[in-house]
Amino acid sequence: MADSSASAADHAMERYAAGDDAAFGELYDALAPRLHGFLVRQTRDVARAEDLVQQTFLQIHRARGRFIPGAEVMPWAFAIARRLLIDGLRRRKREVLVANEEDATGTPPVATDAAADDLVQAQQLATRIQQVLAGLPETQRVAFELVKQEGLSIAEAAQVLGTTVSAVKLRAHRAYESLRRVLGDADLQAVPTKKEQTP
Amino acid sequence: MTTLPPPGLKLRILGAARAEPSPTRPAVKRRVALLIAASIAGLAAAFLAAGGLHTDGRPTLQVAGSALGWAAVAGVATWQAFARGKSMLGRPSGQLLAVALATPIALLGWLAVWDARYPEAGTTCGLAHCIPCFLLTLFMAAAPFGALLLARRETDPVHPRVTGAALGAAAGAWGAVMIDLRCSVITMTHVTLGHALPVLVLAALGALLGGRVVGMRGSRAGS
Repeated sequence: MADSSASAADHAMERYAAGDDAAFGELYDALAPRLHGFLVRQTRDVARAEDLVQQTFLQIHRARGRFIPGAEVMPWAFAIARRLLIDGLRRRKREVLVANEEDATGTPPVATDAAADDLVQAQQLATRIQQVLAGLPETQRVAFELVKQEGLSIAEAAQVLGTTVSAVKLRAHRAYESLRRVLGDADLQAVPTKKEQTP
Repeated sequence: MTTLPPPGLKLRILGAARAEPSPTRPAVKRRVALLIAASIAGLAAAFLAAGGLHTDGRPTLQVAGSALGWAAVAGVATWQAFARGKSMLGRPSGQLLAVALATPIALLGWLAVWDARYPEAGTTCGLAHCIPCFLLTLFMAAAPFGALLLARRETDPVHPRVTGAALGAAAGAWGAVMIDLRCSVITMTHVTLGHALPVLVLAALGALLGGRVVGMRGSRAGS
C-alpha cells in the first residue's frame, strides 16, 4: 500500500510539476491519508492536523515548478509537514503532546470490517502505544512513527528528519525497545505498519 | 491507527490552489536562468568597477592557473550547494557543511601550489592592505550571493541554515576568484584574511539568512 501510494504520488507530482493541474487531485488522494494520519498523531488535534495538511499541500503547490524529475515526493511531503508542524509549535510556544492525555481525536481505525472484539482490542493497543510513544523523546517518537507506522525507509526518514541513517536507526530502535519493555513482545508484534494495512 | 481526512478537505485544498497560481517547471527554469545571468552580469560589473584585471608582473600562467583553479573550486562548491541531487530534500547536512568549511581551505591549498611553483611572483604588503581586499571580495560576491539565495528561496524544509551556509561559501568563492585576478599580493596571511576569510563570512551570513530565505515556511495566514 505504502509503495503503491508513493509511486502514484510520484507520477502525479511529475505531471503536476510539468503543468497538468488535474494531477493535483491525484496527488492529494495518494498523499493526504498518510499525511493526515501522521499529523493527527503528532498534534492530537484533528482540526490542526487538517490545517497542516492544507498548508503542506499549498507548499507543494507553490513549489511544484522546483520538483526534481525522478525525485520521491513522499519524504518531501513529510518533511514539509514536519517543518510546518515545528514552525506552528514555535509560534504557539506550547508543547504538542502531553503524556497520558486522553485521546481526543476519536479517530476510527482503518479496518472497518474487523470483528468488534478485535476492533476494541486494536483500539486499546493503539491507545497504549500512543501513550508510550507520547512519553518518548520527540526525536525517537518521530523516527519510530515514520519508519514503523508510515512505512518510510530508514534513508527516507533520515532525509525527512535531516539527520543520518545511523541516527534514525538508533532512535527508532530505542523507541522500539521502550515499547517492548512496556507492551511486551507479543503486543508489539501486532503494531501495524502502513505496508501491512489495507485501505 | 490511521485517520482519513474529511471529504471536504480535498475540495478546500484544490480551491485554495486554484486561487493561487504557482509557476510550473518551465517557468521556474526560466526564472533561475535569469537569476544566473543577472548574477554573472553583477559579478562582472563589480569586477570592472573594482578596477578589473591587475597582473602586476605576475606571470600569465600563474595568474591563469591560480584563477582557473579557484574557479573550479567555486564551480564545485556552487554545484554542491545549489543542486539538490536526486532528492527534493537536498544533500545531507554534513555534505553541505563540508562545502561551507572546505571551500576556503581548498582555495588556500590551490594558492599554496602556485606559490610554491612561482615563489618570486607577486608582491607583499602589510596587514592594512587586507581590508580593501576583504571588502572588495564581499562586494564582488554580493550578486552571486543574492542570486543563489533567491534561486533557492523557500525550498528547504529540513536544513535551510546549512544550505544557506553552503550557498554563501559558494558565492564567496566567486568573489575570491575575482579578487585573485585583481590582487597580486600573494602572502598567505594576506590571501587568508583578504581573500579567503570573506568566504567564511558569507557562509556565516548565509547560515543566518538561510532560515528566513531558504527555509520553507508556513503561510502567514496559516495557524
